[in-house]
Amino acid sequence: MEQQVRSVCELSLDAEKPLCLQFMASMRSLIVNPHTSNSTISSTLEILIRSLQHAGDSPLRHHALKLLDDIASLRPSLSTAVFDGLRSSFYSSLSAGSSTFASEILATLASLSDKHGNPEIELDDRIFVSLCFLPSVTGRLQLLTNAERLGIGASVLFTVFFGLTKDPYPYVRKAALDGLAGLSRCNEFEDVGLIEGCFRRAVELLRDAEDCVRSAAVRVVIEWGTMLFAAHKEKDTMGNVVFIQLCCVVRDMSVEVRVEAFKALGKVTESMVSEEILLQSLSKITGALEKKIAQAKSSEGKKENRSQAQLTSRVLQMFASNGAGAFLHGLEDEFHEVVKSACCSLRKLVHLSAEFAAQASNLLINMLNDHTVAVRLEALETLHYMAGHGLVNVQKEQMHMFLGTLADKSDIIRYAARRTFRSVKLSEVDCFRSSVSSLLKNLEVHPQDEADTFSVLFHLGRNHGNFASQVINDVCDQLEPVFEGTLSLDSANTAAYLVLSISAPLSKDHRGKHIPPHLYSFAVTHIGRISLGLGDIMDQTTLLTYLTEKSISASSVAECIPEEHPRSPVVHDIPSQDDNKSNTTSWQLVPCESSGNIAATIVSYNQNDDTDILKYLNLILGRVRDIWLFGKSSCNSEALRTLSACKEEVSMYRPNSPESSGACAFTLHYVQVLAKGNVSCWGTTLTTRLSATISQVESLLQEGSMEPSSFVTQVKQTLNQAGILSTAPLFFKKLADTFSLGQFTLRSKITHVSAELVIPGYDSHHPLPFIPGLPVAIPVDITLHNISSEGRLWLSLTSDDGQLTQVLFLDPNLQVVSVGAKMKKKISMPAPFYGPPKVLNSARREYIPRGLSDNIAKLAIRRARLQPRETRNCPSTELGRCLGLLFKNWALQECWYYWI
Amino acid sequence: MEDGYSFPPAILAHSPAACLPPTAARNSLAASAPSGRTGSLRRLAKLSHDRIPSFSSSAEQQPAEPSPAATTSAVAAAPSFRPNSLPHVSPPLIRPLVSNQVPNSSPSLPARRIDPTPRRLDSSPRPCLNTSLDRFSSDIKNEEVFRYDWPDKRATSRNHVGKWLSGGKDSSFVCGGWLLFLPLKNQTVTPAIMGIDCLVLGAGQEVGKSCVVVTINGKRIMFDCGMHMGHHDDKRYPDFALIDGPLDCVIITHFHLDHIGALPYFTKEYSYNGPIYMTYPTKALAPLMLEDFMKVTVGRGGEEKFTTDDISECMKKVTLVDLKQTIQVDKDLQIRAYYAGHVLGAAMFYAKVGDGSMLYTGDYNMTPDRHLGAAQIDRLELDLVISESTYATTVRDSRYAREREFLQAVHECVEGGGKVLVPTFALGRAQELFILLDDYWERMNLKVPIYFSSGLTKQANIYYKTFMSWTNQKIKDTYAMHNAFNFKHVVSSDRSVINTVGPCVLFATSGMLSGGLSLEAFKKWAPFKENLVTLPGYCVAGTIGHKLVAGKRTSIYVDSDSQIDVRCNIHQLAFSAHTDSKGIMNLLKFLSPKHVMLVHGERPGMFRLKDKIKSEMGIECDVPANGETVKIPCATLHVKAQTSDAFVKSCQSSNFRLSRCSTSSGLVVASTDPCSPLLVSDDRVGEAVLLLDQSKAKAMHQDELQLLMSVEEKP
Repeated sequence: MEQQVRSVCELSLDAEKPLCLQFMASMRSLIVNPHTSNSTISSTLEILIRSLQHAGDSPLRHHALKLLDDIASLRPSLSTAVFDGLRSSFYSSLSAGSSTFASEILATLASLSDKHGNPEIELDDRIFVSLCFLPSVTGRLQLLTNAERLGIGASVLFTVFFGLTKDPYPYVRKAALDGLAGLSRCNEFEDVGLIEGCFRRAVELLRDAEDCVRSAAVRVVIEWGTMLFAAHKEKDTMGNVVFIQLCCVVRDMSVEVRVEAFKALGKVTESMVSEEILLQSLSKITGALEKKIAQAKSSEGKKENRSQAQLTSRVLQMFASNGAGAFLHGLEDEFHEVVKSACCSLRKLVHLSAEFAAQASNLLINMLNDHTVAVRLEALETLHYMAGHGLVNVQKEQMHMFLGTLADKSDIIRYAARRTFRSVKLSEVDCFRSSVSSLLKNLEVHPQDEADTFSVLFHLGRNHGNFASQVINDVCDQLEPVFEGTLSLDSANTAAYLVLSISAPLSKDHRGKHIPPHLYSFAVTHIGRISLGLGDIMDQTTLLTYLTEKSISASSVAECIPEEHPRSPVVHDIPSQDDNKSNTTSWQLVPCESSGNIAATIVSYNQNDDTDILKYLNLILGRVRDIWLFGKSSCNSEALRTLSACKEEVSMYRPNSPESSGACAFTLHYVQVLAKGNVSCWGTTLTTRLSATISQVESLLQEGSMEPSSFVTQVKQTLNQAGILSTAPLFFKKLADTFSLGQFTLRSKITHVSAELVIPGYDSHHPLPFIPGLPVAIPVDITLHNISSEGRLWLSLTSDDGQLTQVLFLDPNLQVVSVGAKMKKKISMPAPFYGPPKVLNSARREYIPRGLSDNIAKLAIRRARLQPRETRNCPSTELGRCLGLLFKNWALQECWYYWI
Repeated sequence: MEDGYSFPPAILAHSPAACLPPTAARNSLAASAPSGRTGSLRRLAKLSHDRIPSFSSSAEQQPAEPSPAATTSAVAAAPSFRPNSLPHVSPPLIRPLVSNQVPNSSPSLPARRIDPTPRRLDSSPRPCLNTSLDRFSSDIKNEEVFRYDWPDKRATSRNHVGKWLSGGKDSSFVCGGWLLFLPLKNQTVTPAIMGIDCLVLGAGQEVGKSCVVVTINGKRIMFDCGMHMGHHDDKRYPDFALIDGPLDCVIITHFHLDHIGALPYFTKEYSYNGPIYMTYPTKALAPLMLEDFMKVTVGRGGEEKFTTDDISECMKKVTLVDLKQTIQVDKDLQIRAYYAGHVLGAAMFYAKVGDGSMLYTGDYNMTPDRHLGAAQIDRLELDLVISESTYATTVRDSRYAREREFLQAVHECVEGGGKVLVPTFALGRAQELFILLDDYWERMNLKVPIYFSSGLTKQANIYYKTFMSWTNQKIKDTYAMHNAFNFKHVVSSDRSVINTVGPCVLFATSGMLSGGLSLEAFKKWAPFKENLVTLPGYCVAGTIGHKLVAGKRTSIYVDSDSQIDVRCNIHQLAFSAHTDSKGIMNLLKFLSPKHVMLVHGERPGMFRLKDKIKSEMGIECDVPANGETVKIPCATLHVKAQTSDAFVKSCQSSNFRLSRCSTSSGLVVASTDPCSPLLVSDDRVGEAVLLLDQSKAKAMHQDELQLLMSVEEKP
């Protein structure tokens, strides 16, 4: 079949007959069939290309062109061949004087170049211009549409586009205007006269008879108007002129033009338009503007007042009668597209002036009364955006309308309204009260909205701490549980007020303080529903901790912490920048710097940023230093309590990255050591301990080639004398008094090198069985964190009686079972323990199960520890301060290394 | 830079193979720029000036000053019709050519410059045309219809006229050019130019009894046939006796009595049997209004001049018109209806006879309200617009704010257990307020009943539900889910509602508390401070409504012997279905007609608006009183002309030219920059010449004419 069709086609071409429609149809069937061989397609391609050159003025050329386009799209490998073929046909048709067809080929070439990334068609400027001037309207239109892809110079393009805005055919005018709008992006035009000419021509075409031309003209007006504004001497005037021209189009009869006009208004930048003009676009009442016009008229003649009369009376007059209230019209338009477009551009313009934003929000609030959901939603979305940027300040008289949306029948509107309420600013406590009561009323009618309502209440409370505490104190009595025989189950209102009281102390303005603490204990009873509502802010555990802390500590801590220091961490709301794309809000916890107590342990969210964690840990370290001083002034128990709170707080962090986990582990350890030191620093074995510590410190210092600090030297000296002096404890006390804990600051990443050793199934009650005289295989599971393969590890095992210690070299490379992420290795192996005691301690016999042979004994491991031998690979910083700490556990030995 | 954007049009247009490189083209044009094309025109002007020393006698009387503006200034073109042959292109609109020779530096608005102001027919002499076309008959090939704007006084010098443009059967050419009268024989010809005569029978410098009889090129149309509600004698009806000939048709814009009230009387008394045009909803609702009015009048003991039978007889003559449907009334007269907002079924009417076209707006609204959309019209070439001007000086701000105030007042009242009385007219505003309240009730989940009492309202609601396509876009959009006129909370009720207990909202007629249930309810409810009465924005003097609006009154005489204490709250509604002054200006700017006439307004406001229209748009405006006739010339004529090949060829290709203008055209702001703005012009506009005769016309390229002239000169 394929061959048949192919031969017929070839025959027809050989005979130099013009192609007929039937052959074309056959060819098409070949082309669209994916099973047609490549050779057939290639020859079809050839035939088609030839037909283009020989077909003369046949109307079938158009079909041939379409088939070629099909070949290029269906067989991408042939697109280059099609492209080249078409290019040659283009020139041949040009020389044959068939300009319409030439432009048609050009259009196909341009589309091919777009689709398949073929090289740009480098058309000669002269050919392009001559084609543009030919009588064919279709050709002209195609040329203009594809002009930018033909590699023509910007100045030639400008000339052609600009000139053809005079074309009698509207689509040509539109294409020319679109071309001009595109050219504005190439930044090659600096001549003010040229820019102004183009702008003026576009302004003229704003009154064109055709909708499509007018909307294209709007685009040119804003693009070239912006350029004119940048280039013109009288910047203020020109910027306003551009704005005013656009305002005059927003009442066009065509929806398309109106939408385009508002889009363009959204592109007006800050310095372009003066505030009074901007404000006037929101109101049709032009009293102020009329005065200005009269002023401008009177000062027109005076040269010295020229700068004041920059806006000529004529332009202002035009604005007053045409453009004033442009946004009002847009927002009241019956077409949703226009309303949407007006709202979008309002969102951009509200940043230009606070007064404008205030008036715009008034308008938008009035819109909330519209009977279409789409319009109300659009208004709410815009208000939400503005509220997120702190631009909505609701006045008392508007509350009625605003609150109406909270009780709306449509759940989409209610949801959007609540979303807006989260970030809205209320000017008076009455507004706050009515908002809360509206939310509560809504809760009664639509109980399904409870969770979201609680969330809104929380945000409202946080935004207006002062108002929230006032409201809570008013309703405090009603919140007391009533246990007179009946238990009220309908407590949504109570829970809602409790949410408000939870939020008040966390307020941004730190003004919501006076909340009766017992309310927090009431809140605990509603923890389930409240935490459901506040799910996006804190989890249930955190909430519980917070509530517990608030209800307990409010009385005790309040005494020692001065009121002016806010004690609680503050939750900062960071609204996402681009509200259209994301509706989620990210939350971050930032502790109050002067906080004396980290009692309210609100969990961190999104702690992805390591630097934030470092900052936070440093704050804790700073606080620990303060506590040290606090502990020295004999307020020991208080200091310990605070220290343990710090410890808890650090332990609640769930670090995401290994770096932050190292820092957390270090801080935790640091705090733990200090806590211990505080308790038992005056023990009897002090001297021994100190000596061990000092020697360890010295060895570490040597490794890092560091000088010992004066305190270390002092301690060393005291230790040397301790054996001689009987009054050593006193010296030590003195020494401790002179010690001051320096501020330890975490600056860079900390790697937490650690290893865990577990002997599975072994504890003191289940010793290992062994046969005396034979080696015992002790199964060990070792997990290594951040220990490189180069590091050497030794496993030392000491028997229960302490007499036998054996050391075993571990080659991590050989025994690794699995390698996890983040430098985590697992080793499982039997560790041989040679030479078990010949005679077992009689006391231990009881542990041997009956029925076993006498020569089976049990081995109790007293100490199993991993000893690192190679630490030189550790990178040390300029601080070089290494702190090695060891502590024991019966079956688990941890080995700590930090390098900072 | 000065010459960087010019091309030699001839070379580029006609010989693509031999086209010049851009630089060469620039240079070539730079040399010929001012003296090339424009120069040839100058020569042409001079030539024809000199060539024809003796023009017709009547032309001699005209001020024959050489007008540089007219000789060299450009001509603008505008579309005459839409070609059917090429649907993807529509006719051209060549905006005025701003040439560097135009000495028009005085600041003016674009609107003014785009269309030169036509002169009144009676104030300027008619130009005379002489024939000269006989010898060109040999090369006549094609025939086209050309349109040209009637010259103004200055342009009517002896041998040229400013402006023409065209379309064509084959619209591959479209252009404007010179109109040239070549008076080769000493003949005086006065073309049969007709104008538009407007006889104002009602609503002239007043509101009420709208009625204008317009004669366009011999066709007589009556727009609206209303009655005046303020009069009870003969002044109530327009003075139909002033009409001096048979009417070709009657057009009714909407169903309000001041636009249709006199129609049954007119058809009966003057035995009018011609067609009456109105829209579907108007036909449906008009009988309701007329019969209701009749009942009320008879109820008051008045004598009515028509009966129910007259109404139905009159309605039988009605021909229905749909929006944007072009109706050929007879072979010359075309009418078309456009959406006007205002009330359900309200329409603006476009009428065209031959070269004359006009628009009668009726009442219209340029901003959408709760149930109706904004007026919607095409950009038409119009000689005259007759516009209403009810709010000629008022500017209304946000509709949303007005609605908010109303709803807030009503909500607060019913929440406090009060009753709300909304005196309203049965049709129009009532439905808008129903939608407003019904929607609000639904959204806020309010349970307080809303009553309406009039049977007329009930009937009207059915029609509103039916004519959904006449409502605004929002209602149409939501129609699939919910018909906005299916009121959920608004229920009909009888008089007993006045005595019910508990809060409620009551809609009752009459609107100005002049009688009916509204007055009864008012008497009952006004003494209680928790109640509310909302009054329409405008109340006729003498009504209770007017007394309440006028000032805070504690006691009011409801009739001669009973007085009530008014303790309830009063809220004034600021809703209106008429466009404000900004809306009027917007419509006129959009349409840019050659002439404007204001009706249906208060006299002082109308005159202020007239001045504004003249000063801002440069459009002639009239404010005739009742009984006055205004004559307006048809500013456009259509000429059938033969075209030469050279002309057709030259029209087909672009022939633009870029230039710098030394003086500002005053488009935006006067530029003091030495680097003056770039201008673009299309020489096709200037290259063509239309030779005109009384019966024949010929379009040709100017070169052909020059050739012709030089041939003439040789002997």
